[in-house]
Amino acid sequence: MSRKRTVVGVLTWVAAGLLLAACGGGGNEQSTATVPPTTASPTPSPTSSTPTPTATPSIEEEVAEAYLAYWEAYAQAALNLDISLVEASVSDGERTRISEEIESMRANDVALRVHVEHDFQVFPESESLARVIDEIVNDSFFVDAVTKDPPEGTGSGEVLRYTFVLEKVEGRWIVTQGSRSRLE
Amino acid sequence: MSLRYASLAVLGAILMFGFGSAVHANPPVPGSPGTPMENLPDEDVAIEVVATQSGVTIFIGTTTTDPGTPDTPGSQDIINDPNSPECTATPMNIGHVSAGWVQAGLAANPGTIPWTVSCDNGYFGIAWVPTDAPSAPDVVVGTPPTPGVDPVAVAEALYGFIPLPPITLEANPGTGLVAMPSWFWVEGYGGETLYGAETLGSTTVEVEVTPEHYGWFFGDGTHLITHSLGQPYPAESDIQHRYEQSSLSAGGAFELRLEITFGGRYRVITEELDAEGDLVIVVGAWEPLAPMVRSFVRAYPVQQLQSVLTAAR
Repeated sequence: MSRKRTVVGVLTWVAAGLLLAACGGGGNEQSTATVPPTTASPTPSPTSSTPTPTATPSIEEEVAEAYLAYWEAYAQAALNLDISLVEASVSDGERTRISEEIESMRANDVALRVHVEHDFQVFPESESLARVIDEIVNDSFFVDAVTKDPPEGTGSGEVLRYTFVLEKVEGRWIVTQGSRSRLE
Repeated sequence: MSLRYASLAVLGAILMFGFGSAVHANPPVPGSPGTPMENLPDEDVAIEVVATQSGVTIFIGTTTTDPGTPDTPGSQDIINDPNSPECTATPMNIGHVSAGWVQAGLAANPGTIPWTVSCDNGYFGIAWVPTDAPSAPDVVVGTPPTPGVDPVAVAEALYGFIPLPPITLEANPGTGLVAMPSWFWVEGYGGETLYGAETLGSTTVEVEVTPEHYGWFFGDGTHLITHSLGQPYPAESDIQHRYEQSSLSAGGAFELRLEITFGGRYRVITEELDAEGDLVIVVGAWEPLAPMVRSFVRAYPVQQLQSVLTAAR
């Protein structure tokens, strides 16, 4: 399964969640959707007393959802320089890595506003192991560590390829390993 | 030398960028571009797919650079050892693929499908493998052999991949009748010799492929070996067959199959400098290649005519 997502703050995570739901939970449909943050308007959810059957999500769907949640959590952690915001989504090793990254930014009095557009593919290897290859367009930029200014900035627009390993630990998919290469 | 398909990610210049370092040479300032997960290891991956007539090999070479931290120096892990790691390849289910980079890869590598390559050291990547690969590809850690020109290997590769014309099998009548002759012929190919050539540096290998004979297999257990491709209707084709029973017992249609046995030969043409430094073109003798068989199939229904007696008034 594949998804394109723009991840910018909480609103986009809502959009991604809505899209996943619209796609039947993020299944094997060949959907390719870019979700700009401006389209992430909350959808009223009608209350209903009638229970509706829900399909069991596939591994691809579970991983895609966890992967996007990981990026959103990372974006919040990098902006707020708070490792606790991403802890639930990563292994101890990844936690250490991100913590070091945050400390490096804190030492330079900056934080990172993450603006990326995802184009990723999930490759399940077993019931508890999957890989994700994601080509992102990166328009992230640094902001002041305290004021979070500027609110808008110019990213590099570089295309990066990330490869992540996700493992299902105690019923949850978490990121346990990653690497990156530059494409252009 | 073999036919080489797309390299996925030859990113040799990555290290020169020095990105990934957690220690900024110039401290970042608000408003300047930043890279998410800046201290992830950088992976410099080279994948090359080499196809020969006997099979496909995926060569992998990776260099992983750990950027390190202010307290821990970075390191490079160069994976180019034929004995390690263990890697396997699996065809990707492209029915479920819609990532833009996969689609772009398919467009950039026509005639291939993506295979995922997994290694026990955690490396994971994509290789573009020819759709007509005769078997699952082998995965080899390391770089392909230096492309010194091996004329025989080049000739074999060309021999196996020379495109054939769009051959179709035709029949008259379109639905055969028991005990009546059906006429068969080939459309799209008249038995011409096919050619291919590959130039590598100063060496050119030329290959000729010529049909030696044709095997017509009519699907009812009979066949005909001939040198004829038949003649198109309305001419009376010399490829004829009378079926003795309908195709009902064959699932509704017989499988009509044409097997073309090609013979091949190759020669090597090299550009050399003589004692005076003048360019001399040396044309080698033709050398034979082992026969090659290509098959073409279509369904051919055959019906039984039944007489119906009606009472006269």
